[in-house]
Amino acid sequence: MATPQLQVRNLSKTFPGTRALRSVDLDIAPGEVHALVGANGSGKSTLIKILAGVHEPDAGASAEVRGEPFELGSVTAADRAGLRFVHQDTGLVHSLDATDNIALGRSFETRALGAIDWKRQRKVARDALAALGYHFDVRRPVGELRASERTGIAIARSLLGWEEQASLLVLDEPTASLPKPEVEALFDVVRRVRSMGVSVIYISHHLDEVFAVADRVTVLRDGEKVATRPVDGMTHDELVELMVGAVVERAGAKRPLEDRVPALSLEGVSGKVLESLDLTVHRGEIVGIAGITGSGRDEVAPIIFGGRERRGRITVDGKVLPPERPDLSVSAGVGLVPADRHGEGVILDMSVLENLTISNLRPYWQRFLYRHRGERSDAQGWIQRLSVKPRRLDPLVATLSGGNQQKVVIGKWLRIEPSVLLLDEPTQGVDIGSKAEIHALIDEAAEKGTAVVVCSSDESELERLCHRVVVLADGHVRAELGGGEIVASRLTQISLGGGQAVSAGSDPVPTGGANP
Amino acid sequence: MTIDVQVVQDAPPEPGGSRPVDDQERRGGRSLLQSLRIDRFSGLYVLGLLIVLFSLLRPETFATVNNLKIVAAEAAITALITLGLTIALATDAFDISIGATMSWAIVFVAWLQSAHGINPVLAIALTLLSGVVIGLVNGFIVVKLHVTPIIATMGTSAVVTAIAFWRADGRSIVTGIPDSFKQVARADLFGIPITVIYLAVVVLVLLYLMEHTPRGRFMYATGGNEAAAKLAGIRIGQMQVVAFVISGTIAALAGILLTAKVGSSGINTGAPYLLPAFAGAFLGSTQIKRGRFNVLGSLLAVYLLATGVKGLQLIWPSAVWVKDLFTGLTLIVAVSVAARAAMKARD
Repeated sequence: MATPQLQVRNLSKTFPGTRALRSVDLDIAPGEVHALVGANGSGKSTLIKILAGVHEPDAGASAEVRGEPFELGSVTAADRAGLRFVHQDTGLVHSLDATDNIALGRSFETRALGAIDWKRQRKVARDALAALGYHFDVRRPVGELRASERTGIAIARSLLGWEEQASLLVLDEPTASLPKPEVEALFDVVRRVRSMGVSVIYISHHLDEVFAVADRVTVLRDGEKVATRPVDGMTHDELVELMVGAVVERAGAKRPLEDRVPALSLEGVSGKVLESLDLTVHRGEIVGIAGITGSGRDEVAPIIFGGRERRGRITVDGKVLPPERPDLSVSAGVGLVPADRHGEGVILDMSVLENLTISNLRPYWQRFLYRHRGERSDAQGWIQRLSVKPRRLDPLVATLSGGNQQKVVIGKWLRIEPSVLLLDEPTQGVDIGSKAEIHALIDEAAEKGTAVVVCSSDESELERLCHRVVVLADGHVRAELGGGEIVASRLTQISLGGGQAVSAGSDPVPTGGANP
Repeated sequence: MTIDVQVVQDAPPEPGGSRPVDDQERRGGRSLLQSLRIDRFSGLYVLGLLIVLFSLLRPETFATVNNLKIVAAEAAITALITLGLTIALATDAFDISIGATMSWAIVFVAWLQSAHGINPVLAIALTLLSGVVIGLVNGFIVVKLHVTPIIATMGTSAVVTAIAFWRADGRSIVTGIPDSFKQVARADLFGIPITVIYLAVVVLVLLYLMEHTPRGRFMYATGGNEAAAKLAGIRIGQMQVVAFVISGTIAALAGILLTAKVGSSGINTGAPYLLPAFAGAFLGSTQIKRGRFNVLGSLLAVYLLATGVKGLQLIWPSAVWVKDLFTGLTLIVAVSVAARAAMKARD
C-alpha cells in the first residue's frame, strides 16, 4: 500500500471530566476525499483541533505525514507539514477584493521599495482561483461574490503554493452557509483539489454530500472510531446506523399532560430557512426543536419572540403577537433565553441584581418612589432559588462563570412567570453541574404552567427535558416524536435523514400533535 | 397581560430565612484603606488635595469665599452641559452636538429678545423648546435612519452651527438684551449664585431619573448592551430619543444661562464647552459608580477640573493655554483609567 498522506495512531484526548477521544486511528490516502462524520459530541471537532495544533493530544499518540513523523498539537508543525484548514466561517474581509484576501494569507508580491506589484499579485490570485475552476474578476469586493465563490477564495488562499507544501486540506462544514444550488459548485472545487494530489478531509452533517463527494468515510461515535469504509456500496441508512449506534429505550419519559390548554400557537410561520411551521405548545408542556445546522432550528426561538423578520401568525394565550416587537412579546408573557449569551443574554457590565430584575421593574415603582429594598430582597430570593454562585447581588455579571450567567438569564424570565418560555441552546458552554440545575429550573417552570420551547443541537438534552420533539430539516418538519420515542440517538438519526422506519406519522403521538 | 407581579414578589424565602450578608461585611472590621473607598472616591480626595495645595500657594486669592463663589458659578454651566452629556453617554447616545446646540441657544435667545422684543420668559421657553427639537432630530436620525450617534450628531452639529450663524448674520448681539433676562443668571439666593441653584435642581432631577426610576435602569441597560436590552423587552429606540432630548435641552439651558451671565451673544460660543463636558463625563465614569456614566461622578469631575484649572490660572495668570492643556490631559487619563478599571472589573 502506498504511504498514507496522513496517518494517526492511538489518538486520545481527555478534557477535565470528559474523554473526548479514545485511541483513534486515522489513515488518509494520497489524493482521496475522506469524509469525517459523527453526531454532536462524537469528537470530530476535537480531532480537527488537534490536527490544527489548537489542542494537544494525551500522551501516547503518534502521527506521520507522507511517511515523515509529525508532531500533533503544534500549529507550526501542522503548517510545515502542509495541513490546511478552511472553516465554515471563511475568515475573509468582505470589503476587500479576492486579490487582497488571498495575499493577506501569505504576503504581497512586491517591487523595489516595498511597493505592491499589483499586476503580479492579481496574476497570483487569478491563477490560484483558476486552478480551482473559478474565473471571476479578482478585483470585485468579496462581499459581492456568491457564497460558494467566497469559499473558493478561502480554499485558494489556504492552498497557495500547494505544489511545494500543501498535503492535506480540511474542510470543516463548508456547506453550512451555502445555498443548495451552490453546493454542487463546491463539489467541483473539492474534486479539483483532489486531482492536484492534495487529500481532503471533508466534515459535514449533510450525509448526502458525503455520498456525493467522498471516496471513504470515517465514523466517530462518543470519541471512538467506529469504522472507516469506502463510500461505494454503502447506503444512507447504514451510515446513519454507524453514527448513531443502537437505538435504546428512553429512560425517564415524561408523563403526558393531563389537561391540554394551548398557550402558544404558530400558524404558517416562515423565516429565512423556516417554512410554514405549524405548532401548538400547551401550558406545562416542554416541546423540543431538533435539527442540524441550517435546518431552521436556530431561527425558531428568535422568530417567535420577535427578534427577527417573519411571516405567519403567532398567538399567545389567544392573543396575536405582532412581529418584530420584543417589547410586546414580553408584555404578552413571553421570555427568550437567546443562544448568544454574551451578545444578547446578559448585560456584562451591569450587576447580577440589575440583570435579574430588568425584565419587569413595575413592582418596585410605586407612587413615584423606587423600592430599592424590595428589589434587593426579591433578587436575593431568586439567586438562592437559582443557586447562582457567588450568592451576591452586586458583582458584575461579567465576573460570573458561564453557567451562572445563564442561570441569571433564565431567572430573569422565571421571575415574570411567563406564559411562554423560549430557550435557544440553553446549556451551550455550561458546566455539567449548572446544566443539571438549569434542566431542573426548566422542569419547574413547566410544572408551574409555562409552555416551554427548547431549541437545541444537544439531542440528549431534548431527551432529558421534552414531552414532545419536532425535528426540522431544510426548514420543514421532518418528524414529530412524543413520550418514549424521544431518544437522543433517534433524534440524531432523523435529523440526519436516516431511519425512515420511524418517520413522522408512523404512530400516533400521545401528547398532542402539530396543527394539521 | 399575564404578568402577575404579586406572585413573583412573594417568592419563597430561602430556607434559613435571614438576609445573607455581604462577604465583606461578614469579615468584620475593614481596614482604614478600605473604608476610605479610594476606588470610588479618589476624585474627592484629589479635589481636597488640590484645594489644600492651592490655598497654601495662593492664600490671598485662592482661599477666599469670593473665589469659591466664582468657581462654583463658572463651573455650574459646564456642569450642566456635562450632566446632559452624561445621560446621553449612559444610554450609548454619543452626542457631540451639545456644543453646537449651546451655541445655537446663545444666538437664538438673544436674537428673539433683541430683534423681536420677545419677553424673556417666552424667549427662554422657545429656546429650551429648540433644544428639545434638536434632541428629537438627533434621535430620529439615529433610531429611524440607523446612522451611528457620533456621525449623526456630527452632522446635526454642523447644520445647527450653520443655522445659528445665519440667524445671527455672523455678528455678535450686544444690544437689546433686557436686564431682567440678565438677572436670570446673575442673581444670588441667600448668598449662593443662582446658577448653582439651577445646577442643584438639575442634579436632583437627573439623579431621580437615572437611579430611582425604571426608565433610568432601562437607559443604563440600553447603554450596556443594546441587543440584550432589546431582548429584555426594552424599547431601546425610545430610550435613545429620550437621552438625546435630555442632552439637547440641557445644552440649550446652558446656552441661555451663559448668555444671561455674559449679557451678550457671540458666534460659536458653546463650542469650547464640548471638550470639558467629555472630560468631565469620562472622568466622572471612574467615580462614585465606577464603570458607568453617572450624575454624581460627573458633578464631582467637573468641580475637580474647575478647581485644578482655577488654581493653575492663579499661579500662572498669563498662561491662557492652561485650561485646554489640563482638560485635554484629564480626558486622556480619565478614559485610560476607565478602560483599565473596566478590564479589571470583568476579571
